[in-house]
Amino acid sequence: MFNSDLTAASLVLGISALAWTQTIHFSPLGGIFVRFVLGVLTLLGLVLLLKGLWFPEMGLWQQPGEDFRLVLSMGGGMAAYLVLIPYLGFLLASILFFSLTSWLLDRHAHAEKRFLRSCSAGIGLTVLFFLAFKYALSVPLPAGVLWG
Amino acid sequence: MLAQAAIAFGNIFAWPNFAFLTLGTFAGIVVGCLPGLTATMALALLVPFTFTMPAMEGLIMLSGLYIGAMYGDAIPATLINTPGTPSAIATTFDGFPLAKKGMAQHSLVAAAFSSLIGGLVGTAMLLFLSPPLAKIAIKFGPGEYFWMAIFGLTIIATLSTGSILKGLIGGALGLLLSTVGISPIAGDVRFTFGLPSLQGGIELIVALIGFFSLPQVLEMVEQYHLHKHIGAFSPKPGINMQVIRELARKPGLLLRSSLVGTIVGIIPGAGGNIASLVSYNEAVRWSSHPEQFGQGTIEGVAASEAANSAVVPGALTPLLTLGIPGSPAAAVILGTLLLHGLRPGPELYTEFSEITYALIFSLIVSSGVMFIMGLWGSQWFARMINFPVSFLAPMITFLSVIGSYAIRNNYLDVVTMLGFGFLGYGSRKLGFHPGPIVLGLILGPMAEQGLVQGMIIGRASGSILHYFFSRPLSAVLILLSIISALWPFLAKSYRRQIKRG
Repeated sequence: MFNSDLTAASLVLGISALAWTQTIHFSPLGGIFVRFVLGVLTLLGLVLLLKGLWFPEMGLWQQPGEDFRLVLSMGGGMAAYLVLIPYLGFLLASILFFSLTSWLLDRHAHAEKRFLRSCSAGIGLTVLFFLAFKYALSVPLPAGVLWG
Repeated sequence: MLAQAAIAFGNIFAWPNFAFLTLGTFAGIVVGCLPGLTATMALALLVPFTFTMPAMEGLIMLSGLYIGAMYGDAIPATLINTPGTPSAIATTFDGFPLAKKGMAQHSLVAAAFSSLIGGLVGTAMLLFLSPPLAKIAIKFGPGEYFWMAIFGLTIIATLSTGSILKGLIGGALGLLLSTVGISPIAGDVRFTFGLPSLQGGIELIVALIGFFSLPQVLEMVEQYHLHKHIGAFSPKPGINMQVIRELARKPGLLLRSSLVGTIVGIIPGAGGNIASLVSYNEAVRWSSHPEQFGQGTIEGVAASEAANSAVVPGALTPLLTLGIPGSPAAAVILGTLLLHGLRPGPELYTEFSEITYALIFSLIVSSGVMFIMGLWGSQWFARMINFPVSFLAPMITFLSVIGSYAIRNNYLDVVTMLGFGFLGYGSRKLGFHPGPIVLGLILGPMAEQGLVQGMIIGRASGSILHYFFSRPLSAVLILLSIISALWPFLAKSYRRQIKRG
């Protein structure tokens, strides 16, 4: 359990403080709307801070039955996928990401079957979407240094 | 004129016009289905194909595509909580909860039926009310746009599930995000942190995919041990008629949403995204069971979809009469008109009336074609939620990458999308809903431009306050904003009184 109001208020006030420091160089016309919005945001952040101190709303990072480790793995996988795309290109990075993610999630299946299923789905679906977007719809996809 | 209109109506069904209309509608549904591909982008891609076609055929195909896309965007909004185009933001609020209950087909049928009604009502208004409505739209100045944005922001109270305070903070954060990039009037470079790619600002679709799609993937993964699928869907006979009958009993909801969509569509710069949110807000406000919204009700889906489909004829109203496109997609249609030597204005209704009426009637016919395709396809589309999460989660992720990259071919957009995804997931844990953040992002540019331009005009004319508060249209919008902001509190006290009574 954690005080979600206090956490949110701290983040909002942190973002506001960072944004205020950036507004110093803005011209009057370019900065008026930003300063107005920031003023409102800071005020609302302070109200939330006071609410968090007196009438806190408690939150849960994880409900019973939920697995936060899977979220961390998936989040890490997504970040790694984005790092890999500029090197391997969209197709190879996507095949790798799809196969590994579905293999990681599909735990209840038999080990050998699980590996085959993840790889075949990863290759099949990714290639299908790649061809559909790149050639049928002419949508540009990110290319890689090693393989375009 | 009636004879010309009748000939034009007949021409739509002539070969190959009807085939092009059907093809365009189908292509529109496909494009609408794919997050990141907008109706405007698809229309722009299709324009070169219309070069060699006669004007009527080309315009009929484009109108089919536009109508199809406005329905197609409801499919991913319902099935994976990701709006196919920004116009389907409000569709996610009830569409996805319905899918989770195993009622995805209900949502898709409601979307198809309400899109049909929205298209029909909007086109009827386009036919009969074009000139007076276009005259009002042309009177919108910076002050009116500013108040229009403020009116839009009053929806936050409806969009915030739980704490209104957190909803307001979300709205303010969205407004702040909308200021990233070069400022529209003074040219200041704001919050780019030295990254030139951020100078163009934050692309709305990138933010939409980030805030709606990735947090959903992370939540699906988090609850993987509890649910291996998003929901369970098995087609049951009679759902189509059941949903249609239920919605037909609510003509007020459909008519109101269609009118909201048409009016918002007429105003240049305010598109389907604003129409669907305003209409959703009105549906909650007028409902006798507002607590059911957000939990999965077909009324919520119908309100959003009727409005965003009515935007299509609405956006064509100032285009055909004054040459002012009501939306970016309408601007592409304007380009096509000009390519074929057709200049907007009175000539369109006299010299080229056959083509003009064919374009208008094709909106009605393509709404019908879209409805049939949507009705038939709903049971097939809905099966997607039976896909295991282990395949769906990586598939949504790589579709999100494609969608966010396709907009500007900018890899930083993909990185920004991932950042918004993590932010969206974290903010849900802290009790924030992505709706107000996205609303702020949509309305920010309109509010800022209206405020700054209005201040410049006001200062030049002697009084800024006089400029913002004394114009009749501004006064109407201010009044509407006050009523809209106070409504949740008034409605709550009214319900309390009824309970006591």
